[in-house]
Amino acid sequence: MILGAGGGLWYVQHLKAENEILKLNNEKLEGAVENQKAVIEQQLADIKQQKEINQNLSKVNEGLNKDLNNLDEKYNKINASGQRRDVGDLALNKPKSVELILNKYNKENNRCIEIAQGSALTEAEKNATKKSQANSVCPELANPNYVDY
Amino acid sequence: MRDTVLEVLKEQFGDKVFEDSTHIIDDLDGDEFSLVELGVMLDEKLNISLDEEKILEVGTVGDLIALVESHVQSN
Repeated sequence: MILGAGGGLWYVQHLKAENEILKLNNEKLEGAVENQKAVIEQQLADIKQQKEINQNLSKVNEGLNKDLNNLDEKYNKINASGQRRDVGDLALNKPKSVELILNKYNKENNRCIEIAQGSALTEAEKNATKKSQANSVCPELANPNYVDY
Repeated sequence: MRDTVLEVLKEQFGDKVFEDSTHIIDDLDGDEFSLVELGVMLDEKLNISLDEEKILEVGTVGDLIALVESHVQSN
């Protein structure tokens, strides 16, 4: 009988010890699940942010392509008489004028880079609605209220 | 003088309405190089040499006519 009681006591002690181990394991698992949840949430946030960055880049790219086409049109314009613009010829005839224009475009180009890097638009840039007021190089980026017809 | 300017504008921009208040960049879809082109064409037709900085200050058709007239008068 004593042996039976001792065996029962040992068995209960053994169950208690196993129970403690299971509890600890369960706590560890719960902690791991929480960690995984946090990692998944962070990954979802990263994906969302990446999507936004991609959308912004697409928008900037679209604007830059449009501006590139405008520049191409500017340097290769054909007038109403069918003559193609020859900037080199203009530079020979009116070198000072062409130099002033290129300096202006250079300044505007630098401004485009600043804007692309996050510089805020000035009031004049925001309020520009006419072609003569807009940035000649990147109106799509610099002048949100200017509509090129 | 005016007729020559209008003729040159027509060569450059086609059959459009050219009033004194017509803006060369905003209304005729020109640009800074268009102003230089107009300057070169007027130089050749009138045998003059328009000021290279002043040609870029031209805004309207009226400004262009006035620039040509003042240049001719001063020479």
